[in-house]
Amino acid sequence: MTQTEIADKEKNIKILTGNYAAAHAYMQSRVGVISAYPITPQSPVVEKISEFIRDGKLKAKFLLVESEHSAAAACCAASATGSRVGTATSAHGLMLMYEMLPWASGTRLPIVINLATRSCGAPWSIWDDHSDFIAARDVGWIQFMCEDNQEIYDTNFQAFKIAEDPRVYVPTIVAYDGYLLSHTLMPVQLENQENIDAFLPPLKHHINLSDISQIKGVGPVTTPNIIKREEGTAPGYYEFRYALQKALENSIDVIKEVHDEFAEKFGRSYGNGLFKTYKTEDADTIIFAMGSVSAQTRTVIEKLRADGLKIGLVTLRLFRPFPVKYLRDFFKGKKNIVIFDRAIGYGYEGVLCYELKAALYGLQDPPFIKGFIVGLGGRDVKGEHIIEGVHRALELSKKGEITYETEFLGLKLDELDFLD
Amino acid sequence: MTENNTDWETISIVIIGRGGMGAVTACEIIAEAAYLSGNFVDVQAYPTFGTERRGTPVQAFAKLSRKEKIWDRAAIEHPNIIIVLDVTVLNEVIASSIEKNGIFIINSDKEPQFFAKKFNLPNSIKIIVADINKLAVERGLIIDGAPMVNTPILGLLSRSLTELNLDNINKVVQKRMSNELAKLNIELIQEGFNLAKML
Repeated sequence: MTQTEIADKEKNIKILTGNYAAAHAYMQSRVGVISAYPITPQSPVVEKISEFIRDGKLKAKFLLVESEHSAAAACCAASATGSRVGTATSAHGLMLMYEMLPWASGTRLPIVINLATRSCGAPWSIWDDHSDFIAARDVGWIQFMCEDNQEIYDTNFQAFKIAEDPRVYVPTIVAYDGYLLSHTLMPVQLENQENIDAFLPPLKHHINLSDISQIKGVGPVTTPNIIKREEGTAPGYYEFRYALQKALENSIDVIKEVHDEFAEKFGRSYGNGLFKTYKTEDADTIIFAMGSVSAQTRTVIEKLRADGLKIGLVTLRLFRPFPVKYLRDFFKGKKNIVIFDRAIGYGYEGVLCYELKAALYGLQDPPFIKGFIVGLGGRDVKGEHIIEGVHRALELSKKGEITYETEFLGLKLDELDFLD
Repeated sequence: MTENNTDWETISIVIIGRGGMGAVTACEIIAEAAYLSGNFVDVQAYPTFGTERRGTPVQAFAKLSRKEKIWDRAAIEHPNIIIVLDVTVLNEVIASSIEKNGIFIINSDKEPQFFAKKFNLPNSIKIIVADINKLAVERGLIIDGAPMVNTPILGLLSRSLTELNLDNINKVVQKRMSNELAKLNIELIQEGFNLAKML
């Protein structure tokens, strides 16, 4: 489909996989450079983009490279020249990119990565969980998790606009569950190019490498202390990293602002842009989850409420920066929180669980919090697992019992006949 | 027996066949046609998650919802409709997974009663059978030496799920294929519709 065709139709809904929704968003964001290396379940994103380029629908340079590390390095270099840059990856692909991730954020390059989430080996698994997404937590990127294919498409435009905002200049990951979204077709409303262009104007980058006289240096060597010379003062590493942290903290306002502008222009919103609430108005018990786990939870909320529970759902959309202030405001006065994690901070517990506990530190009369692990390596997360977890948590809450061991739902140890 | 309009709020469909038979494409066509019909507010289609190889047993899935957005991401345990492209992959486990008022659609030269008896299916389950292989061979819908049954069998589906009428299926087929191939497919979908033997 050409861009004029998009503009011609008032309501252009296509049935697309999550991967193709991401590819369409890249095309309509008019990315200038794509560099990627194929990995399941992401590969269709960049395959589709290469088709768009071949067919002349997207004027972009597709850099073929020999690994994800090179893809990330190429993205950094391309972004430093002032081009709008995107890539896509999964699991070990992201892990191979890892070395470059703090380079991108430290250099404040507004790159976007679409991450079709997948478990990390060993043992070998190509199926979904959030391990890769979680592993990218501490390198200074903004991180979104989407819940359906429309949100993937919409969040990509927001991601570029946020990452490229001069108040932010931080690279961004747009993640979505591998297979469950990446390979599942759903209706996606595509917007016309004119409106996308108005929302997301061409990138005005802060570094212009094509102008030799303007180059101040990208990714310089820094020392523990400030260096003062006649030609100027060079910040130390400490000052650079302070600036990155402040940019992330300040980005929350920009993320909300960009989300609200998108909602106003296109009529679709995702809670407050940071997290979404469902049936929480009268709820004293809240389920906290993201992505596919949250989606599955939506299918059982009515059933739990019919059983007399005042229960609702909060879907985390923005994982980094963690929206601490907004979460504290929301959870103030709530009685119980049940958290379902599709990833573990190994040796501790579910990542959302300990992140939220920390965020609510010092609240008066704090909620009782109980977390569960679900769906690692693509194990089906069923509504019944969520219901089981809620009942277990409420039972513990009643007794005021705090547990220290992680609990896995949907395990099938009893079916392993070699165990006693 | 007459055409039956099912009143399920959401309809889950599983297509079973072998890699290369177009099970995934068929599910995609079903989802698109259902959405196009205007009778469903949300649809999904997806392959077996993982790797698929030519010739190995594969499954593909579709979920159609009349009123609500589909948030269900779990595997389909008890499909409302099972479509069998290749009977050699149909077994007891698959047959017994069907929902109690479900619809079985089978590509076979046998009679519907044969399958009712073989898999001990209750009367509440509708069985629709047609020899789509023969139809595809006779009409020359052959790709890489194999008869393509994945689109003609949609005629049988349309027979049982009338909201998914032939017009919508044909529109989607037209959009996805070259003119000549689409024309043949559309003819065979109609013939499949006509050939349906129902129990």
